[in-house]
Amino acid sequence: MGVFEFLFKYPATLYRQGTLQLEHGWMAYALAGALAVLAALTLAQYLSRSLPLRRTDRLVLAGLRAAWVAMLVLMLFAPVLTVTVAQTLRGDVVLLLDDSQSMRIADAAGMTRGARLRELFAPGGGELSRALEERFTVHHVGFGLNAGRIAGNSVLNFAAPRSDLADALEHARTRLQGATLGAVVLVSDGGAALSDDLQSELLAYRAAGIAVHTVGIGAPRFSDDVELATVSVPERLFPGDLLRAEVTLRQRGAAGRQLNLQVTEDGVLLHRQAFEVPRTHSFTLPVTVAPLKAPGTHRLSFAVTSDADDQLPANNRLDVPVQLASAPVQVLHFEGEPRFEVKFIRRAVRDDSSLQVASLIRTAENKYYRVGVADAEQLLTGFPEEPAALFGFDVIVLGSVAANLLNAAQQQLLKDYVARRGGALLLLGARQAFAEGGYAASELSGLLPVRLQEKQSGFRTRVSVTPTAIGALHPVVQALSRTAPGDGLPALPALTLVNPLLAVKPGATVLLEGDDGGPEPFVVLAYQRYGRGTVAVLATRDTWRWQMHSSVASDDMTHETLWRELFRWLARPVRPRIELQADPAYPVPGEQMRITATPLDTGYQPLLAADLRLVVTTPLGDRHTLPFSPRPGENGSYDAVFTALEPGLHELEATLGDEADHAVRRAAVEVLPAGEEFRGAELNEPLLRHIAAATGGRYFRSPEAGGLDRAVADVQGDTRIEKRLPLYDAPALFVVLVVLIGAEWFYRRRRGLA
Amino acid sequence: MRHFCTSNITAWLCAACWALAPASAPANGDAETGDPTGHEFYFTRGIYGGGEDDDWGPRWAIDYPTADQQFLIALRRLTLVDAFPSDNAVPIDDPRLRDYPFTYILEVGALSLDEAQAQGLREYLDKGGFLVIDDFWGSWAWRNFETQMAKVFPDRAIVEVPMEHPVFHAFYDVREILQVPNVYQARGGPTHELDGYQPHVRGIFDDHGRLMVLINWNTDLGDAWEWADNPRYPLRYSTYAYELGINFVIYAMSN
Repeated sequence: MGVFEFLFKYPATLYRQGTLQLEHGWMAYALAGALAVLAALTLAQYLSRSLPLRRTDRLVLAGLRAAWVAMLVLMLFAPVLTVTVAQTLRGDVVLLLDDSQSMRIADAAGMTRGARLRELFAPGGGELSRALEERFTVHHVGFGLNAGRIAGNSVLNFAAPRSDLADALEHARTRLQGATLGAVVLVSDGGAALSDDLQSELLAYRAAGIAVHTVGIGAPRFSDDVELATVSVPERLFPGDLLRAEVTLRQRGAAGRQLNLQVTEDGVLLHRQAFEVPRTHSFTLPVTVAPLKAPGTHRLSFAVTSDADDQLPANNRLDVPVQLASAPVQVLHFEGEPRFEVKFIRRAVRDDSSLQVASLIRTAENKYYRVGVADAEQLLTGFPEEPAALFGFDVIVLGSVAANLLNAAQQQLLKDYVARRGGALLLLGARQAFAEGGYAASELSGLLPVRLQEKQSGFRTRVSVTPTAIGALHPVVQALSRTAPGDGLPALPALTLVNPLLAVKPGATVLLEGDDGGPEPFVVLAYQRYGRGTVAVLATRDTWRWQMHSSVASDDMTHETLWRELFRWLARPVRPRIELQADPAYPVPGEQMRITATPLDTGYQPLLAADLRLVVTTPLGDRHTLPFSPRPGENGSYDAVFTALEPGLHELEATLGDEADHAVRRAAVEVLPAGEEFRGAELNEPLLRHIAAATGGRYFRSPEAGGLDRAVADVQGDTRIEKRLPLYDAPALFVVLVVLIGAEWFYRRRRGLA
Repeated sequence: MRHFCTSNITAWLCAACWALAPASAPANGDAETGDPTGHEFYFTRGIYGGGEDDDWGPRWAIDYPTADQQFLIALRRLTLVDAFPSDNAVPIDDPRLRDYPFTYILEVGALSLDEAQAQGLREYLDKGGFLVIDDFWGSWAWRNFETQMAKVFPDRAIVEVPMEHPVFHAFYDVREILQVPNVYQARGGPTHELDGYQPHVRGIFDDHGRLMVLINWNTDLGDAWEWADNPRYPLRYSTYAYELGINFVIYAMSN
């Protein structure tokens, strides 16, 4: 204790932080008044002529007396020092300790993350645990997929396949309600994403005024690692499709290294490609895998070859489910007049069991010829006027169909088909198409990706077809270019344009252009997204010349490729009647998986009382039938919950309705094996900082976590209190009082007045 | 003679054909335009060598071009097919034939194909072309035709086309096979020529069941088209021939 603290009772820092006040606010005014009265009385007494004193004596004595009386009054009015201090009462602190597999990585001060965690926070023995236990009641909670209180070191075995931070925080907040929870200390490598659940939990902490301090364990950058992070595959594929996947990798210290990526199925090598690791931390490899044939679910293994330097070989492989549609794409081709395109389109796709084309040809004013219909009733009365009849098709092709051949209801239905149902609409060039077919003034003009010119009924030109720069990257054009003989598409026979399309709308993409030697190329193949669907135009009138022309070899497949790839590409993003989503997308054994289904009726409107079932087939062949229940707060969505017990491919089959209105959606989820925690396993400091900042806590790196106990004490949200420290008995006040009285006495003695 | 025109089809055809008949000089539509892309459909007559007839000239040109033109008048009037309005004769070994997926050949009793022609025809049909054969009669002509087609498709059989096949129902419902006589025999007496007593519609199908070659044997659709405007030619035959011909076109453009 220094001199200052002896005289003034409290350290100087408190005086700097606090404010001097009287015990009650009104006392300040009363004191001022009292002092004024006292000073006036004292002065009046000393200045009265009745006392035989000199003028100087009167003033000195009046001043000294007034000062010590004022001091005395001040002490009686209870001066206080008001400061805001942390609640120093013993509170409850929860230590959330990461118990997942990634804590086995040896990158924490020369030891594994788990060992470092034990060293600092083990119950009863950890160096920081002890510091906290001296001041707080500490609860140790270990967490992986689930959280639970732990009592000893041995409980932490770092075997959990994943750490669920949101669940752990919720556990701490809700299970310890009986305790006076002051703060939470989260000790982890942050191996998780900032999910919605985690965000919600942080808000709950914020609202409750509980700070979460975070301690990061591990290294924020590995020294040498190549990691296969994600593999993105199309949601919908058809048998025979090339599988175009995007493989995202991350590297540390491996730039310039030559590695191999390989794709296998059941041990059979499907694809292998060499690549040089770039300098960037994260990079994506486009991978094209040979077509898969059999419909159903395929489980492909993507793996990067590792070398001896690789710090974490466990993150070099990822198994990915790929779903090949078993039901064919339903295409409706409507022609307002007989055209050879009908025949040759049908011919082009006839060997493709994934495509089923129903052709509706208006052969006379009120006469239709149907080819390839599913049954005697389908399209019997012409182009559908009801959603149920039209929305069953994935792709609709309009050929030489004048806009006025479709009544207002049918045009609106087509708009709904694209925008709401998410279907694909393809418009072909023909004498009754586009502006020449009266589309410029129709409701359908808004759907088109092209700007329509003035109607030019006699227009006709022949063009050689070339890919645009962006078209050359498109799967349809790439497939065409691979198939086209010799010099590629431009070398194929010229095709006829009878609709001069020269410009597209903003947002539309031109894939193929047509050159007739004129100054401007014509739009041949273009598309745009409209609502949930796609609208494309193929402006040529006679693609069949790529099949029939004398310059085309007998075995040339360009025409077949055009139509097969075009229909498959258009159908791939088409909205299914049951949308199915699993969360998490890659669960681990023991982790609860929520499967959300959004079923739609035949008009693609939400179903509020759906008859929906889910069957989960495990890798061992066990089938579990699960009910769906309406998802709270989201009309039309239904949840089912399943917990996989073993890793591997789990097939999901959601069935809607009865025989009269039946829809099935199949999907698959890969339950990842142990070791998954090693993906994205660098210390995730941004997440831990965010958690701390969002709740009023602080982030510590493990080596510098020494100030943690003080931070917990200092920064405890609602536990901070305002204290009024009494000063009436401060020695300094007595000293001043004695000095003033003594001074008066001494002066009187000197002046012979005592 | 007007009393023959008892149906709508024939009434219209009579009027139209009367007007067109004087202008029936041979013409080649493709040659005229130099462009096979002006219309969706060209009624293309296949020109083949050999088989010169003393009375009628080249056999490929029997009924040409009147039959072709009159058929096109009906086709354009009765359907929505955007058909080139005139005849269009192309040699069967000419690469330009591949611009026209529909070809009509008749009098094939004397047809003689060399290897190049047979291969060209095979590729034409394999690629999606459609061939209609008409107006050849009797077992001798059949044997020759069969021999020639064997050069084109050695491994494909010629089979009877059943009445329920779509080619008989694509536009009109044709429920029976008639023997369409030539213009002379149509006036009375037997309708057959030589020993071709029984009319047949036969075909050659590809591996997917698509009809590639349609063979009208012991019947003469061409004459019925050509003489549809002749009051002495029986309405029954011309109506049937038009119905069948239109069905062939609609089917060929759609399948």
